[in-house]
Amino acid sequence: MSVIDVVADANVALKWFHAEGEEELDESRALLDAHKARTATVSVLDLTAYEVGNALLRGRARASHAQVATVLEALGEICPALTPHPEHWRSATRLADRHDLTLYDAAYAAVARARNAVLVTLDHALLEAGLGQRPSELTARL
Amino acid sequence: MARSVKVMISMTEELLERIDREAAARDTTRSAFLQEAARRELGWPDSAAIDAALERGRTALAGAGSFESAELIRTEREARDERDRRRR
Repeated sequence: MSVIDVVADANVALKWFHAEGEEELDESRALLDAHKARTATVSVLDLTAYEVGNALLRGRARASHAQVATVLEALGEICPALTPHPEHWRSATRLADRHDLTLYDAAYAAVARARNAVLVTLDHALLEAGLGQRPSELTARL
Repeated sequence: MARSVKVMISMTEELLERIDREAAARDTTRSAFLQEAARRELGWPDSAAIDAALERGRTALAGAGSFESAELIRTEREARDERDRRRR
């Protein structure tokens, strides 16, 4: 059986820890079941910890700095965090320009493409650009 | 943070051919196949460690309230992007 290589967007990774009000919660968490069963290899980007931490600290979540630190430490234990290579930035800037994405969005897509991996996201900009799949789309294949 | 690096290793031609055949059969690359084999040998991912980490993280966010992560992350990305544009 082939192992699916998955890059998870920060908006999916945050659902691994937070449940209330979340869309596609079970599907997002099912990715980790596949990761543990080794039917999928799930990774995030190094950027993900900053995005999750910033959203929790500065967004409308009610989380203290200590609680956010606990989440980020846990994230680091769950799956590897990939650092974009220098050659990924050329692809990322091209994708950002072509699809009018932020470079944050495009970095996920560029790394996933370079790895021939599936980018799993619930970000409308990435989904509308055809650069990612919803968790429910991928888990239907697992 | 994990950064992929290129490595040069030695092995017999026969073993390399077997690896490549198996990687092709699994519709994956030689590099991905070898990484997965190494993870298995090293016992990673460790399901118990992942479950414990999830439990700690979920407990930490138990009182965080109701929100949709995609909206929260999108708002932060756009805010950063806007700040970056203003700096130009």
